[in-house]
Amino acid sequence: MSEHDKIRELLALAAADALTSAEEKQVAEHVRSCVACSNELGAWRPIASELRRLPTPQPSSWLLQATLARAEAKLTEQAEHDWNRRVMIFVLSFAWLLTIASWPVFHVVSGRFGSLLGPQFGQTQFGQTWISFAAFTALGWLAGGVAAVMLAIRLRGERRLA
Amino acid sequence: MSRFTKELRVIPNAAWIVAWFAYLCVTVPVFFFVAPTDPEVGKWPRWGQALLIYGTFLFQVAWVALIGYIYGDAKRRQMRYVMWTLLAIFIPNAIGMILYFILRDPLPKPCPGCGHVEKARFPFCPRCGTLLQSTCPKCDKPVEPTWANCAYCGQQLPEPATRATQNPSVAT
Amino acid sequence: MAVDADVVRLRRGDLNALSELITRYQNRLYRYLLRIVRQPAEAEDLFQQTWLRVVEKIRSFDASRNFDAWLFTLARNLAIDHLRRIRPQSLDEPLANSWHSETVADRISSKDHTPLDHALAAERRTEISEAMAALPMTYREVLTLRFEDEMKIEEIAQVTAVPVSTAKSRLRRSLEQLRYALEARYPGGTWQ
Repeated sequence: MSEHDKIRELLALAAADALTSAEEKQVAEHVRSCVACSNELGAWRPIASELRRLPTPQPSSWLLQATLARAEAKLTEQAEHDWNRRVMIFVLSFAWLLTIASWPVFHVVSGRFGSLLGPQFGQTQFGQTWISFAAFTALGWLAGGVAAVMLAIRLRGERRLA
Repeated sequence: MSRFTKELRVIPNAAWIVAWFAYLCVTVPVFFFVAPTDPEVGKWPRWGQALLIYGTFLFQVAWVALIGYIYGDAKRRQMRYVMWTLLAIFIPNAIGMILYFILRDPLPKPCPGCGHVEKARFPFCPRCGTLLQSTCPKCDKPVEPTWANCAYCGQQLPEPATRATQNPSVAT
Repeated sequence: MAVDADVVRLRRGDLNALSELITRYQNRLYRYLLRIVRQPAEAEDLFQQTWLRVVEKIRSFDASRNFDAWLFTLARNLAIDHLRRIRPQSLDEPLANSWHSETVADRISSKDHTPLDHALAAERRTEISEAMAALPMTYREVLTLRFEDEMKIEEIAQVTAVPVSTAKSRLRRSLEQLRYALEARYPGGTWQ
């Protein structure tokens, strides 16, 4: 493709100010000597200038307020959601820490308590200990599960009345 | 003030007093009487014993503080706070606490008409009848401000700025 | 840049920052959406949805990036999804007969420079907006981003999710098609 053809392709973009400075220089140089391209560029200019001066369409007067109200509500809702998530993570980790911490305490207490009853109960064996840890933890979760079910039933009953 | 410090204020002062008192009641005797005689821990250096004892029992403080928080928080949300506090205390391994945080009601806002605070999620104030929350014009269910259409009946909702101005007859 | 400060504040949950941002972008964003969907009621609805989406995703937005481009990209995606659902044909093809039924003869083709020029200027604006509205969506959007929003080619490429060379050639082709349409519709008129 000759240079003239290449420049001709760039003329529309030149009117749109969308060329790199190198390309702009090329176009400016060529246009100085080429009448056809100069006219062509002149033909693009009114289109570009009208496009730039298109009137801005106006939205309804309440759009701003309505959007603001909705977006603000969403922002506070999200902040609440984030905070609740952090609280849950903390409480869950705390619950696990307590569970794990309760095992050695249980071990020590049952050992001491056992030794009070008699020397043969003082030495807690490996298997016994783990079974009692598991039973103790499982019992706790069972109690929690029962409470959850009872609460859920109660809450659902209340919501249906409301 | 950060969100965290704001929430800490919900814990009643009595809870803090009980927490630190119980902490001292347990850690001091254990440190001075139990730890030195223990077959394993007694062999540790004194500062190691102190760190272990005074450190681990901080969890106890946190536990009591959490119970205090649940008491205060359930109260301000108009829930059955005595029941929830007891559940938090007596269900082991903090499962009662987890249940509370999952199931708690949202924070109620005071009525703009008479200032009375009632449970959240009620669309009208039970004392003065002011509209508290926007409702759907077709099915009268409460709607969130972020909704464009009613989630119960599908009715298109007017813009939030114009919504909450419909006030039913205020009881005299 | 002042805009960045508001974005940072918004990420931390500042309601005033949100209000300032919405006000600042009000006209530009609405205009862009209107150019894409061509229906004012839909553009307003999409305007609200865009800002809700902004609130949802602002936490994962890196404040050092270009907020303009990100905002317009969100708006664009919502608008395209909307068009796909409601009027899929308007995405690829120009509207068949979106112009007034005025005949060419009604148009004054003189080249006078009288006070009539004002009427002519207004007419030119109407002509060009009608011609633009009849172009395919990808051409309308690149024209409005370049001439009305004055975005650089790199930003346009980012918003429309294409390489810079594609954005450039789209701009060129949209201008050519616009000019062709104007000259065909108003031969011997002010566009030659």
